Amino acid sequence: MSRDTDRMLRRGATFVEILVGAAIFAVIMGIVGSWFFAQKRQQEQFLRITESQDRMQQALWKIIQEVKTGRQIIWPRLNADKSPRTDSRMVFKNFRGEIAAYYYVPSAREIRRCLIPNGPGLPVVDPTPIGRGIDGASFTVMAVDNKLISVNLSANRLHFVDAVRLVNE
Amino acid sequence: MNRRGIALMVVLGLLAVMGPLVFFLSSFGSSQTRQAVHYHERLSTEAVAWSAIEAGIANLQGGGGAGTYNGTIQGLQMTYSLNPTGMGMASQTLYNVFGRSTSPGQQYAFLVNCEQYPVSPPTPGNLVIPHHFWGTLQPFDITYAPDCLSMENARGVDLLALEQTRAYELGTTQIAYRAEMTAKQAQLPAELAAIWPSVTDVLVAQKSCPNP
Repeated sequence: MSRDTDRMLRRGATFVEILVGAAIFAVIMGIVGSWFFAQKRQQEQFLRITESQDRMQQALWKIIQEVKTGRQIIWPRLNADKSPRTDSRMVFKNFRGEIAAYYYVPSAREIRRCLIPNGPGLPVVDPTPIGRGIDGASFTVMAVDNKLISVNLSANRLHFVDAVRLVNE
Repeated sequence: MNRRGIALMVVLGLLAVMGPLVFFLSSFGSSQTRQAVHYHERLSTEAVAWSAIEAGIANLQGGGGAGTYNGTIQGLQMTYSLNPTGMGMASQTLYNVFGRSTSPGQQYAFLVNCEQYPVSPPTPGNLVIPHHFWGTLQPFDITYAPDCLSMENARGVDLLALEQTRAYELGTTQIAYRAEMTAKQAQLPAELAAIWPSVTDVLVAQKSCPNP
């Protein structure tokens, strides 16, 4: 290293050099920062969608698990002309012959379950909702034997639809 | 600027880039994502267990008999077991059909009674009538006789409840049954109370042995 260069390094940085360095650093941080926040926004949106999917999957799974081994859909019933009918409530007889009901509560954005004894006894609403953060729920009965029902849940502009056949007599 | 300064700047620069990157990537392994995977596995396991039961019924329709059968569907292990329990009054063979699927941390099992009516002369299509499909998340081993018995007993509790319900329907007149059902309206949530009169009409119409 020459003596001139050595002297230049030892004298320290001028104000202009610091300004240029800071400007370059700010530009780099700006690029990295904007990328980071863009990715974070995308990730938050992805997580919201994942959470909605998760909530709906959980709710759908709980509903279908009981309905699948149920015996008869009581509500909704087909229309008079035998066309499918949709409602935000579903009432059916479960495996044990009890009357089980799933219904949507718009004010709380929840799906709840109520078990009604098919005989003496009081109805019992499950203490925890079957699904939270649900924007809409509908149940459509589709067959004349009242054993085929589709469940449609929506949240965060996503829709989950599944159809279940009650397999027991 | 000496070498130490350059090294410091390089380290700071790497931290500025890597810090957010590591944070961003680590969030993908968050609990929400893991939970979503968990429920996806649960749904898949249940679907495969159901397929196992359907495979068991199809086996009986094809003239199959007692035995345990294994396989995989979409990478998930499934097993079904055909357990004969005796003969019926119409010379049909009675079976308990168990179906199970397992995945890491998940298990689902189904049990159904089947009546197999042999066709004469023997053809591939035996008449099979299934009754009382029942499912559980309990980790029963359907290839192990005591576990099969436990599963039958667990389902038996639910069947006893069904018997009680049907006995109540049979032993009650239509008027008394309607009165009992109608009285529940006051205790129901508003969403259900609104449709309860229509529900009661259907229940009364479907009541076992509708007495006047």
